[in-house]
Amino acid sequence: MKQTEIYDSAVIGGGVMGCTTALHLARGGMRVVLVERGGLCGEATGRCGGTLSLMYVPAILVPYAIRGRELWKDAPRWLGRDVGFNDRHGLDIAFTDADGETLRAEMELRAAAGAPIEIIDGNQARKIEPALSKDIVAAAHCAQDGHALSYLSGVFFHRALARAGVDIRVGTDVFGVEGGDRGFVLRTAKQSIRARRIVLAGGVWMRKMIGWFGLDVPIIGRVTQETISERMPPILASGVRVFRDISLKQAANGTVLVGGGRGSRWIEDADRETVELDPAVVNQVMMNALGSARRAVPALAVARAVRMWTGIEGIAPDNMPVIGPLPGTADVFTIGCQRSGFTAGPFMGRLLADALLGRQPEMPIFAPAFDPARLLSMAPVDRERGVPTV
Amino acid sequence: MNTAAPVVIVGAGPAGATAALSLAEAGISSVLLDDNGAAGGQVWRTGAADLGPPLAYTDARGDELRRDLKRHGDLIDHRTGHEVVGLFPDLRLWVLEGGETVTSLHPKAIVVATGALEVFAPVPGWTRPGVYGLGGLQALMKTSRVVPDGPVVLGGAGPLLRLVAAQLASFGAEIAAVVDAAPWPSSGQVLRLASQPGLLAKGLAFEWGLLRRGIPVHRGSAIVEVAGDEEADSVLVAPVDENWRPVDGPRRRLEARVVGLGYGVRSNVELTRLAGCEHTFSASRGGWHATRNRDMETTVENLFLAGDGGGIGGVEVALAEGVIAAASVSERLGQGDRLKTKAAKARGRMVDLVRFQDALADWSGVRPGILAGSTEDTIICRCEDVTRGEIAAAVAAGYTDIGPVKMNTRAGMGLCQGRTCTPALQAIMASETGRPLAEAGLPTSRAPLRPVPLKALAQLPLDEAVE
Repeated sequence: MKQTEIYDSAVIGGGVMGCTTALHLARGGMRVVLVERGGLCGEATGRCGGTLSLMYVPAILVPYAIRGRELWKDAPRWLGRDVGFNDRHGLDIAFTDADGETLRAEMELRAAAGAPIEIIDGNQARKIEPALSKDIVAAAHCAQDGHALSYLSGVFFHRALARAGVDIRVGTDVFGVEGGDRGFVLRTAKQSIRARRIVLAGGVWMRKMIGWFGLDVPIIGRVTQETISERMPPILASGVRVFRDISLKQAANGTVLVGGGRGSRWIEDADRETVELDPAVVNQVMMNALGSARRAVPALAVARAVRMWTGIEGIAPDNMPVIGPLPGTADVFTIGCQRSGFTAGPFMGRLLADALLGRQPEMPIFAPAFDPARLLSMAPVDRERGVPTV
Repeated sequence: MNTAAPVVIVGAGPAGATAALSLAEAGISSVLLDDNGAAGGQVWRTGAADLGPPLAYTDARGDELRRDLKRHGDLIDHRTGHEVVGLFPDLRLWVLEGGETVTSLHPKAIVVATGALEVFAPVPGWTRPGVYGLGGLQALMKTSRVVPDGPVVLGGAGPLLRLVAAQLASFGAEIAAVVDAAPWPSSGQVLRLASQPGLLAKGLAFEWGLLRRGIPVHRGSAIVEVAGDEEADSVLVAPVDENWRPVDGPRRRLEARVVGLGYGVRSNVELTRLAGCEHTFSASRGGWHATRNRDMETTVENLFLAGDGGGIGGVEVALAEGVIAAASVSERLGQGDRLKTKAAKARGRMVDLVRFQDALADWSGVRPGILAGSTEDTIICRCEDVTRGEIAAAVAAGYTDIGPVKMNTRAGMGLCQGRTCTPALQAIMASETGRPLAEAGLPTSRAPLRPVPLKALAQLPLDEAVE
C-alpha cells in the first residue's frame, strides 16, 4: 500500500463498536483503515465480563440490545466464529424491599420497551437458580441473557476484518487529525494516514478525540473491576446480578467472574499512562464485590480468586450513547460510550455502517438521543448522584 | 506476634534475611515474610533436619543465617508459609497464609527480596513427563534428597547447570551428559572471572566434579528435542552458534529418562510490577528488573529492593544489597545511621562483584537464539496450550507489545500467570519482529499473584496495626 492512499473511511478505536463499524463499511465496498493504539478489543470490550443482557440498558436501547444479543448468538454467520455465546437466563436480585421496589420500577420500563422481563419473588428466583441465597426478597427475570467470551473478541474481529480487506493498524497511536473538506490526515507515531471520512470510536477516550476538532464534551470514565475464579464445578446456570452492585456468571470452563462492586469511581482522564488508580479504592471495591458475591451465592465461599483487573467505560452524563455526525466538521462521526455496550455493540456498528453507506438502517442510528451535539450544552456528571440508569 | 514492626521484608533468602538481621543490629524490628518453611531462599534451601548426608557443594552460611534469625527472634518476626500475593503502590500488602487466610499489612517501608525465576527455553517435547527445571531438580534434592532414576541429561547454560549436575552425581544419579549452550569461556572471560578467585574456584570445583566422574559435557550444544512415547526417553542434541542458534553439524540422540533444562535465571518482577515500579532491561543482569537508586530504593517511595530481584547478581551481591537496603531503611525511618559503615563496605564489595557478574553474563547469559530450538508446533505457554506459531501469527498481525500479544493468544494468561513462559514469549516476539529483546516489553502483573480463597478476600480485615 502506498503512503498516499486515501481511505474512504478511517475508524479510530478498535473496540467492539469500531471493529463492527469498520467490518461492515468494508463489506459495503469502502476502503477502510482501522487504527488502534493498543490491540483490538484490548480495553473496555476485552476487559468487560462479556455480559449480554437487556437488564442494564436504558429502556430506549432495549430494542438495540435485543438485536445486539442476537448478533452475538449469530456470530458464526457474520463473524465467522462463535465467540463463546452462552444462552442463559438473567436474574437481577434484591435483598431489601426498597431495592425490590426500585428494581421493579426500572424493569417495568425495560419490559414496556420490549424486554421479556418479569418480576418474581425470592422463591421463584431460587427455583430458576437454586444456588441463590435465601435472603433474596425480589428479583427480575429475563429469558434472554447470557454472555460471550469478550476477551477473545479481538482475535475473532482481527480475522474477520483482515478477510474483509480492512487495513488494520494496531499499536498505532493517533496524535491528532488535520484537514477538512478535501480529506483528513491522521498524525500517528508511524506514518500519516489519509481518509475522506472519520469515525471516532474511542470509548472513554472519545472526549480526547472530539477535542481534536475543537469541541469539548463532558464524557468521563467509570472504572469497573472484574475478579475471576479458578475453574469450579457447575454452580451457576444463569447470569446473576445483585441490583446496582455486581454481576456474577460462570463460564463453560467453570471459572466464575465477579464484576462491579460498590464504591467504584469516576475518572476525568482515562489515559492509562496518567491514571493512577488508587489501590485502596480498588481493593475496597473488590472486597465489596466479593462480599456481595458470597452473599448472593453462598456456595462461592470456597471459590479461589486467581486474578483481578480493571477497565474503564466512557459515559455521557445522560448515560446514552454518543453516536452520530460530529457538529462543526463534515464527515466526522462518533460511535460509543454506550451503557452495556458489549451487548448492543455489533448492532450499533452495523447501523452506523449502513447509514454511512447510504443504506436505510434497520433502526434509527442518527437519533436525537444519541446525537453528539447534545453533549455540548450538557452539565458534567454529578458524581454524587451518578447517571440515570434507565 | 510483633505487629508493630514498621518494616516488612518479602523473601527470607540471603538478601531479605540479611536485611532483617542488619535492621535488628540497628535495633529496628521487622516482619520477614517467606512462603517456604525455612529461611535461605533457593540458594540456601534446606529440608528436614534428619535428611542424612549434606548436599555436595553446600554453603554452611545457610545454616548460620537460620541460626541468626532465630537468635534475633525478638526483633525479627519471621513468618514462614506466608506468601505475598498483592503489593500496591501505597505499600499495602496482601499476605496469604497457608493458602487459606489473607491479611493486609501496611508498613512504612518494604524491602522486596523475592529473588529470581528460572529461564526456560521450550523445545519440542519439553512438556513431557520427566522434564524438569534445573532449579526444580535441585530443590527436590535439597528438601528431600530425591534423586532421579535412570539416565539424566541436563541442558542449558550458566553456573547452575554444572552445580546441579555435580550435586546429582555426588548422590549417585546417572548423569549421561551435560549439554551447555555456551562454549568454553575465552581467556579474556576467564581473566575477568578470576577477579573473584573464590567464586571462580567454586565454578572450577563443579567442573572438576564432572570431569572426575567422567561425565561428558557437550559445549556449544543444546537440547533441541525431548522424545518419547509419553514420558521422555531420549533427547536430541545439536551444535549451536555463539547466539545459541542450532547449526549444521553432527546431532546426537542421548538416552534420557529425566531431563533437566535451565538457561539461567531472571529477576522475579511480579511484586515490583504490581507495585507500579519503573523497570529497566539489562542484558548482563538477566533482563528486566525494577530500577533502583544506589540506596536500593525503587521508583516507588519507601519500597526497597535487594538481591536477584533487582537484576541477577548472585548470592554475594544479594548479601551486600541486603545490608545497603537495611541501612537506607534505617535512615528513612529516622533511626540513625548505625549501619552506615557496614553499608559503605558492602558498596565497596559490590563494585568487583558486579564486574564478575558481567563476565559471567558475557560467557553464559541468555543469547537471542535461545528459542531457536522450538518449532511452529512447540507449546510455549503450557497453561493455555499456546504454540510458537500462534504467537508468531499475532506478531505478524501487527501485535508487537507483549500485553496485546498475551490478550490475543492467551499466552501467559493461565494459572501460572506467565511465570514460566514470559521469557520465551519475549524471545519469540523479538525474533519475529527483528527488534531487540527489550522492545517486546514486560507483562503487567495482577493481584492476587496466587489463587486466593474468595472468602478470604471478601473478609479481608482492616490493615494489621502498624505504627
